[in-house]
Amino acid sequence: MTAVTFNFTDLVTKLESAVQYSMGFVAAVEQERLSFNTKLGEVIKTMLERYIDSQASLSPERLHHMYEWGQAGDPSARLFDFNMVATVTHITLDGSFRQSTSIPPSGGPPFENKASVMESGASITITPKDSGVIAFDVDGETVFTSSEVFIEHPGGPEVSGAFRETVEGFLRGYAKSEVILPIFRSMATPQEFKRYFPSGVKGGGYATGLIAGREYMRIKGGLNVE
Amino acid sequence: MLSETIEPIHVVNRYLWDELKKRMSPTEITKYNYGNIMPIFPVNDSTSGDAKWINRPYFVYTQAFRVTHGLHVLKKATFVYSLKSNVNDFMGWASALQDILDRQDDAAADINEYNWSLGNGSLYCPVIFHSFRVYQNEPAKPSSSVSTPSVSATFMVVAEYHLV
Repeated sequence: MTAVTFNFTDLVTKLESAVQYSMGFVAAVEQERLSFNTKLGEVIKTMLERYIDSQASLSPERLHHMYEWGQAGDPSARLFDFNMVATVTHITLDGSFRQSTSIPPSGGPPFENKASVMESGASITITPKDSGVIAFDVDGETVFTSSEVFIEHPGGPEVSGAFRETVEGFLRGYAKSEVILPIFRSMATPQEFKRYFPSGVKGGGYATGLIAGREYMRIKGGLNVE
Repeated sequence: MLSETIEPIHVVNRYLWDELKKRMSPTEITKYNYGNIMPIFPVNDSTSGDAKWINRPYFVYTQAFRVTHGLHVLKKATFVYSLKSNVNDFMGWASALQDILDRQDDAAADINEYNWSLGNGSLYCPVIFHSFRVYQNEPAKPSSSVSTPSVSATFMVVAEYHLV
């Protein structure tokens, strides 16, 4: 008669290790969510800023208002900022406008709220100071007037809402398709969990699960914007 | 003596222009008498801003950014092309750009072959392309920067490649 024996002690040990391994993996994913979102948010912010700069260089008639006078597309002359805030569940990009400090081409004081006024599409009325005159260009000729001047589209008709459209278009189009979806697709199958599982069960347990989880939450291959 | 480094984008631009000439009807190209000029200009190129281009379709391009993945050799460059055109020609040129480049690995294979043909048996530019994708994030816009009615639109061209 053949005797069959079962080593339940070993089985129980392995099951316990597997459970510990899984708990370690989940714990690492929770721990790493904030740094994952922070890295992703920073990459998207950098891409967005570079995209706006390139758009402004190619089509200054649409985005010149987001830069100091005559410097459309120059990163050092931006009149916008994005503040990126990442939490474990959200990435938020808040845009704000800087005040212009450069002298307009027609002279006079800086048009401080150039970016926000032109982006909003608001019309403006310029009144001469101290009964003086206003000088401005019309088709290349300098014109002087002592009357109020009404400008329906400061910065030209294309600038109104162009910054918002550029940002939204980038986030809905390129960023979604080219950055966010590929990363999430690569995370849909947690290969790292499978790869480390044998060593986790063999005694690595919780600590091995942590290693696997951290590797899973790293953006594959890294992601650097030049 | 000035020497110019051949960048991957130069191969893409030459391919794009040759394909545009092949795909569009001859009159669409010859009516504008481009001569030997390839109407795909780097940003701030003085010839692109000259008044003689008013009403003729042309592209202006720049590289927005490049994404690298750690130690991987594969690079992903994002080029931005702005098409500026009269109203009548705009749709034909915009569609052609997307038809030519938005074909992922098929476009890459064709451009690699083109790169070999330019080099007469070796690579004209030491690059192997893997994929191309094109995004138009925003609709075309009428432009008031010139006196005749014109339209402009921006396309993001994502090229994956490695240098050899």
